[in-house]
Amino acid sequence: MRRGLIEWSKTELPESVFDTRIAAMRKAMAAGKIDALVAYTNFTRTSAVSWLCDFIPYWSECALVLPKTGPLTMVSAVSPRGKPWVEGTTYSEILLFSPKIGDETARVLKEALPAGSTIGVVELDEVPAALGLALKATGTAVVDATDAFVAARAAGDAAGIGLAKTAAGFAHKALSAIDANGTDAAAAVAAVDLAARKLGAEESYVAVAPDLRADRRLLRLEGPAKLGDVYALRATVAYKGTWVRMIRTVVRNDSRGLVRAATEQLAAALAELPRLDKLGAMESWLVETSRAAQPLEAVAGSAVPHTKAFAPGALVSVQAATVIDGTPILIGSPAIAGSAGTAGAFLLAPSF
Amino acid sequence: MKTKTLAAERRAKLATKMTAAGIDVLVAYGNGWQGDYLMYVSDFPILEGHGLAVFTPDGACRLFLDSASEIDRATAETAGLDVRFSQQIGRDVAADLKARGKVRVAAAPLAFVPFALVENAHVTIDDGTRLVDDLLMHKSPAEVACVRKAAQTADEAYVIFRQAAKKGRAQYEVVAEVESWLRAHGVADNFMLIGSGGTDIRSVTPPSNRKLADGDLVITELTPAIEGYFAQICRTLVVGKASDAQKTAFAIYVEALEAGIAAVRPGVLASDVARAENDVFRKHGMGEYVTSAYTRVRGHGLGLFADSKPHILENVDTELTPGMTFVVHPNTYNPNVGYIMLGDSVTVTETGCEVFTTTPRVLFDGAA
Repeated sequence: MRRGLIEWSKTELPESVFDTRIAAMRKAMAAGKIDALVAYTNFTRTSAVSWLCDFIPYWSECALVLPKTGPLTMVSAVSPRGKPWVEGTTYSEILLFSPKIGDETARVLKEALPAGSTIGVVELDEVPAALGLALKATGTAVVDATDAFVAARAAGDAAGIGLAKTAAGFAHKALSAIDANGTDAAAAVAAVDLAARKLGAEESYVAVAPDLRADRRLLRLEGPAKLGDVYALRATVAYKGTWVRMIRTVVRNDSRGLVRAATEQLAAALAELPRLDKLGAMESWLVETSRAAQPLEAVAGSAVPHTKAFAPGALVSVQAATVIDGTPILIGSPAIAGSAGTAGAFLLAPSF
Repeated sequence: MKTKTLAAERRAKLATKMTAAGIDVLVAYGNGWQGDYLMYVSDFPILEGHGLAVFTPDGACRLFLDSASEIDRATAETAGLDVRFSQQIGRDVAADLKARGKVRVAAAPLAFVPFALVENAHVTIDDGTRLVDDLLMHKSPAEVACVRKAAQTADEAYVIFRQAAKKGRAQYEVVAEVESWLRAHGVADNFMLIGSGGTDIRSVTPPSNRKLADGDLVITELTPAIEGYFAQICRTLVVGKASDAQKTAFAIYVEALEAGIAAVRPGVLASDVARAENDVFRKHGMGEYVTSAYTRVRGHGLGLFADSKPHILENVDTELTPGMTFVVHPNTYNPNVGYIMLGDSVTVTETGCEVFTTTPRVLFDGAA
């Protein structure tokens, strides 16, 4: 569950931001001949709903209904006793509570939609079977609305980039909290976690590769581990619905400036984004972004079979591995994909 | 690190059950919210995205994950699995099932598998939830040992909570201290809710930026996991000195918790434990406050999920048997002082009950 600070900041996300987003969504719905949109959210697939109404469930699940006209309605499986908390963190106009959100959402739609209507579901393939089957049982046409959602969101907004900059700043400060000379992996993970959460992160996941010369995989630590001469930590930080990843590799006695060289290598490679077939000279790489419900969805990478287009100017998180002078280095940072006349670049350079 | 023998033991038990039930393939679903079914089958504690494990009684297991960043972790933290990254796990698992020909397939929990799986499957998928629930509830001695160890960690972490819960601190800063302590001790996961204040607080939530103030009741349920197994402690403290009203109110919860624990033994029903707790409130004229308007459950199962079956409620007739682990917590609102939490993790033994958590059942305050 989320154990960080979840609150709706009306300074960073004023209601006007949601009005603009909802208007963009309704425009995309009209283009796709969709009469009502359904977006699902749970602990791990939060982004579509939070983009539309801020809400992030710390636990449980909800469905959001956006008709082409009429009030934004949220059906929540959170206990009704949680109503004050839900009310304080969502822009939805109507809140309904039911342990069976599929049945309740279907009831709402059946009452609201005339015959011949079409229900569009964001990531229809991925929603729980109980929700999909309940919507189908309404007898109304049910279609996938992911493309419409992606189109509405593609324009981006300053508020979203602002949140990402804050999240990136948290990740950078958190990774800076590592005692680079330390040898206890758990202590390093704890330092990053503490710093991120105390800054106000909504969530913090810290992964570690304690000895990069032996194993380059970033793991969630369970139990003790010793840090080797070359090690890396990855901070995955959420702030008000926006997620970023940043990686710091520590090379002990890095007199040759290997980590700096890797940072420069990645910076040069990022300039080519949104090119999707390779990432500069990186040995392996991964680009993640939030298109629909997943906060960090793999859209391109050396091990990603099907690349998915993302908009110029999109916020992405990039992870890569390189080898410089025989030393393996992991590096990663949030970045902004290039757009016409502008090269892709770090949102915040992972320099430590 | 996780014990590989525990994963092997779980899979062997599952294979036996599947064979007895005539199920050829079990598909287990999980995500970071509820990962117990997936964990039981695959030994993978999923964090990001969602996943499906396809398991057959010969022990073969194929794990489909839609988070690319989880793939490395899955290959490192599990053994003997065929781990696959999939950008459409429902459709890919449907295709995987089709390639197996005419087989009897069950899924757990069926309601939560991706819609694309049920829409594209070439066979009707049975609901295997109850089959796996039974395994999740009835634990082996090795599984119970993990819960016991997690309870010990919960006791230790509550000491950190008490130290952190100082006047002027925001709730999220208190939780940050506990989380960091857990990470420093190699504990990867924790379920935790918090509340602070007086009669205005009706339940616990994720941490807010509300600052702790003199006289506040500070309530928490703290639930660390060891090898994926959760144990919970619920306690209440007062910032500064506890008032007489707070002490008087708290005494009812101690009585209720003791009554609930005293009822735990093989052969009784979950409802018997709930009734024992609730009768204490009714005796004190607080019967209204054990209804769903003010509280949810009087305890719940613990294991690979922090809030599993059986729920301890007066209408749940699950029979308690040795190896079940759960928390007994008569948490509810008290109209005089606010919401109070008090709960201990226990297991049903052959002769009665073993209480895992050892933190004193007192209302901690600045003077404690």
